[in-house]
Amino acid sequence: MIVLEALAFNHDPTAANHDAINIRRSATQPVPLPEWRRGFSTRPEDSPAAYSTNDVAGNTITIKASFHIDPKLEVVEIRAIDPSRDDRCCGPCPNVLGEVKAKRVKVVPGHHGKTPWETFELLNTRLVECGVGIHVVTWQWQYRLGPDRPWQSFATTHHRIYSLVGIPRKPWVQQPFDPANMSLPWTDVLDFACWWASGARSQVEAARMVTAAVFDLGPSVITYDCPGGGSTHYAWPVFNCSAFLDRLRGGPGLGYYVNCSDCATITSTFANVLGTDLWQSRMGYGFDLNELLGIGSNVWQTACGWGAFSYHEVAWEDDCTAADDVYDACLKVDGDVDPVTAPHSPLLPVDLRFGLTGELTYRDRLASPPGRPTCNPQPATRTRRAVT
Amino acid sequence: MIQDMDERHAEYLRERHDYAAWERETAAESELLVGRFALRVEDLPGWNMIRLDQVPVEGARLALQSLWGSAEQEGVLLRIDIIEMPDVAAARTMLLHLLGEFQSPEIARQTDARIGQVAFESPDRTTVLFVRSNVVAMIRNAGPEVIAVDEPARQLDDIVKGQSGTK
Repeated sequence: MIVLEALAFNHDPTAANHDAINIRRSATQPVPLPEWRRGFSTRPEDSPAAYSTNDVAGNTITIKASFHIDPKLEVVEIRAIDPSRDDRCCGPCPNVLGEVKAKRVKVVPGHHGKTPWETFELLNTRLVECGVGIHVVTWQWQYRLGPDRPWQSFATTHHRIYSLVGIPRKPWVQQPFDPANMSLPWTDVLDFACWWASGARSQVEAARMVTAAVFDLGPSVITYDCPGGGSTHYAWPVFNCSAFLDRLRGGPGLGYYVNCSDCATITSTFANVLGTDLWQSRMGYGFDLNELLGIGSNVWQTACGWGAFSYHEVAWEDDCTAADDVYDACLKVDGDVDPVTAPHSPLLPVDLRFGLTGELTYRDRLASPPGRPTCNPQPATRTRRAVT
Repeated sequence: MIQDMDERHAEYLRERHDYAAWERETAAESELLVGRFALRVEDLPGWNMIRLDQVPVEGARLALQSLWGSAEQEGVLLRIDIIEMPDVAAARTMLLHLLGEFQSPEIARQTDARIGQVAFESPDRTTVLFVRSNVVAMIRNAGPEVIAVDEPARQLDDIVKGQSGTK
């Protein structure tokens, strides 16, 4: 009598305040639209969609649906409910897209029961209160033939919904919305970024959580490149994100080692897909170090025992100057009142101002007193490496 | 694509690595060029190619990033990067640019010309980068078991020599 044919979450590629944003799966795979199609979409991951919580906040989110309805019927009322309807189910954020508000759908004569795209409003969405995350949304679709008639179920659909703080920033873009555009946000990256920053409700919180998660990849997944002289493995000439994803999934990727440029790029790229606004930028050149904990290491030392860095690179906010905050996933500094001498209190530099000498912020904790005069922000190096 | 190097960084590198001493090639060095470098799976006996990516490097004719596993030792992985530039001068500039991707102050020039026409290495030879003709090569460890890489670097240098021809 009635068949659900397709659902579209991203039904307006030019906007994101009432619908899902533009995404793709990976460097090589787009997300076909509409996201859910009868006969093709059976698992939640077959039907992915992502929302910017900043943009949908306070707005009514809509989806579009098309059906095949028995031509003998003139009008049916259609809705979708959360089949669990149990707030105790599925953790603190069940069904972030709530339910599909009931709507009367007219059968248009002469189309053999096929309906055009119908717009439906969502009720009781919880994207904003749940913050960043990956959620499975299940809807049970129902129809009734009149207000006095009982609701009848006719389909159940499952969707993988990513909630972000904001619209992804570079290197991720929203236009052109075109299968050839490799810089549309990848769900392969969202699978990690949303997990790492789960529950974050602000850009700063998301950036903090991503930075911590990247540092915590050491030593099991990656470690600092002491054997290679602290050289760039994933982030030159562009960010080989496909290889890094392979590494995250247990494959060889481009190897076990990373340096600061890699960490800065991974951090800012995986944070910016959530809507943060970080850059990769350098400091230098040629400066002595305090003792540090490099990613993957539990030994306090001056970077592999070298004593100095030729340069260092971090994820950095705004103009990447001494007045701006850094997010350094490559190392921990000494966070106590005397970062120059032991004992050391490990501090991951997140949302920490680079600062001037003597202010005991990031610069003073990274560089030793003789090194501080040549550990200067180099904002001309500010970049956001493209992804492949 | 690569960003133009920050001039302050370039100046620091030129001074630190005495660029003036190796920036210009000799007449003999500029005679032979490589055209369309090829790296085949059988080129490094004892090593299995795991991954090969061609990457975009502005100004380069070809840039390859590859990962190789030792056939004999578990946990030993090599990362080999090859960049073919249009001429020798561009290759010397590219070598300087690559030196700018090393945080360690201990990367130093090989003084005994064992590999390439200009070469740099880490103190324990776990990293080597060199230029021969218009090709820049970088060989590094990529696995948890670390080895000296001068032997595979020498093999790679022989491959580059073998593919050089009179321009």
